[in-house]
Amino acid sequence: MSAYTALVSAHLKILFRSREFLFWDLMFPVLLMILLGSAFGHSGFSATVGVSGHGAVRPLILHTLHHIAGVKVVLTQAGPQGIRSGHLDLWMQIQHHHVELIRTASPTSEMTATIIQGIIDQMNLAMIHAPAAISLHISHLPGPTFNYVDFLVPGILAMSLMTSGLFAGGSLVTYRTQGILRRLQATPLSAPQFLLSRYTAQLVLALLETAILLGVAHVLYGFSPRGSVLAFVICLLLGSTGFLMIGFFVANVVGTPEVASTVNNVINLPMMFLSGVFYPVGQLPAFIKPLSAILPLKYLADALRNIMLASQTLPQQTQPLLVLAGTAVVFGVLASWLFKWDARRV
Amino acid sequence: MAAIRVNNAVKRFGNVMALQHVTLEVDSGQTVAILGPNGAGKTTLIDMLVGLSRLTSGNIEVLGHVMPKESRRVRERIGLCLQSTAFFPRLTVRETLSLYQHFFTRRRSVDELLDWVQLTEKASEPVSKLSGGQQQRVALAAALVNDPEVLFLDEPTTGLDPQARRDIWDLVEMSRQHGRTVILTTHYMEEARHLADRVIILDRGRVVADGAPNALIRQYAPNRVVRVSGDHLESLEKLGWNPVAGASGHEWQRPLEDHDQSLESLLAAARQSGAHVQRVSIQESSLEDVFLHLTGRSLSA
Repeated sequence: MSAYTALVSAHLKILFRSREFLFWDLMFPVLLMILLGSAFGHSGFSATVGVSGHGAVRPLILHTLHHIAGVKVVLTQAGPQGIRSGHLDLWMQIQHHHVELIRTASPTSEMTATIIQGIIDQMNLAMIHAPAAISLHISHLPGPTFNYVDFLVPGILAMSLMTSGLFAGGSLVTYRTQGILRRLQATPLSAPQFLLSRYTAQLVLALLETAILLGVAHVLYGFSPRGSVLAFVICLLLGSTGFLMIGFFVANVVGTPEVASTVNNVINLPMMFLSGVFYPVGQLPAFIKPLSAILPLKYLADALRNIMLASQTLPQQTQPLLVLAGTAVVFGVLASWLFKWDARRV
Repeated sequence: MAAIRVNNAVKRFGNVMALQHVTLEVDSGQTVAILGPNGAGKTTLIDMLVGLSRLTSGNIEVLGHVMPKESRRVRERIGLCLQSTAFFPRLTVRETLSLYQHFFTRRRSVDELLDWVQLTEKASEPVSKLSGGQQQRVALAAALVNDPEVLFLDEPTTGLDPQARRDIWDLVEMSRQHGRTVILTTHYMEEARHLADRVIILDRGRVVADGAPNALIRQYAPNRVVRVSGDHLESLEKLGWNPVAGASGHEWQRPLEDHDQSLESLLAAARQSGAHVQRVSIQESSLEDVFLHLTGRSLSA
């Protein structure tokens, strides 16, 4: 075994013995995906209708409502207060042949009212046996459809590659302040050998993080990536390289682990929220959009999504891949140029 | 053959002269202690010798190679135990030594090293779980993974308890008997005297003395000292005695020179002058006195 392979295996051992690493790099992205996926993953229509009163039409209306996907009926004797408290989206009072609807301004409420209006119109027409003057048929567009989880998984994956790259930089600062790097410097080991070994370990981690995240997404949400596996792997390794180099760069311009973690947060948080990880960049206010266009994480998330969801090829991702490669080269060169073994003096 | 040649070495940090025109040669097989107070330039000198820091001017050769230009070739053949360095805390003792072993082409067996520093039972413990003395033994074992020709030890026992210090001394002693060149820095004169066959005293970046411990004492502090304590000792001043600093006049001392009268007559004269002497002690000169003589300051200050 060479110095390089011995160091790669040492790095991996150290990481897997670190609780911070196991939680923040391996578990946290998965938990975040489950949390957001469960909270916002149900993109289907869902509404609760409170029904009170009696009348000949009541059983027929209720029977029809039961067949409409997403509509839940609650039988109640109370008045329309449930709407105010938010438990109900719509309140319906039936008296003989009169139906009274009370709705709010919410889109769900409006949509439910429209559905019920349509049902009553149909029932009226059926009762007078009127022939339909205009016929209507609705069909689905064939091809893949995306839901929120499909959007979220590549985003969370990109985010986890970013945080673990920055985290690696932070640990380099700790090694330096503790004198661990100085001791390594006193051996025949060279700086490129050391950095390359840490980089290799990072690529192994990137693949592992990806496997865990995609595995959980598949089991919980039936998520299956499309597109070329090779294009996907190249894209995620390139992204991982870019963020590790940013981490290495930060590690060599700051003095203490505390400052490193602050700087990393300053990089981490805007990227996380402005790069289209959790919601599309299109939903951001117009004045922020130019900012998100300069964040490398946006390009990684975009490229991963385009490959995993739309089966796009690498040549179609030239722009984001060039941005990521540029990030890796610029910060990699700066980091090796500024590299310091020793915290005490330069 | 000289293992180390330092010629007119100067190191400046801003306005501070850390090393001022240091010239010295160390033969292979010698054990040399570099003695001096904190800030004397000991660590700076070691850093220069192993190529961790660049000289401002002058030149250094280690094992025939120019430093720091040929550092990597030299590091292949030397072992280091440095101050304020550490190992990966989450690796075990065995993993640490095995990792360091892979950095060198010449390798000693890890089991043999573990046995040598008596850490075989701790081999599977993470380094972070060891005591200070045990960690220092790991550092010493790591310094020896490549069976080095020259061993550099920068303050190897600073901060250790007396037993742990003795353990390190034994290990250094064994290494020395092995025929290795050993360069160690220390501010404990006892350590220098015990381990080294040559002492280099460094003060404010300059070599102020260089030689075998006993030769230095003979040369710079040949006098033993008589020290008395008691009351009414002020009268001793006329007889050539000096008050001991910090003893508020209750302890006085004077050199006991070979051509002096006997101790008996010195004390008789003291009593006659009216001094009440209660205790008498004779202090052998030490490297501390050599340092005091050469710099006018105490080593431990």
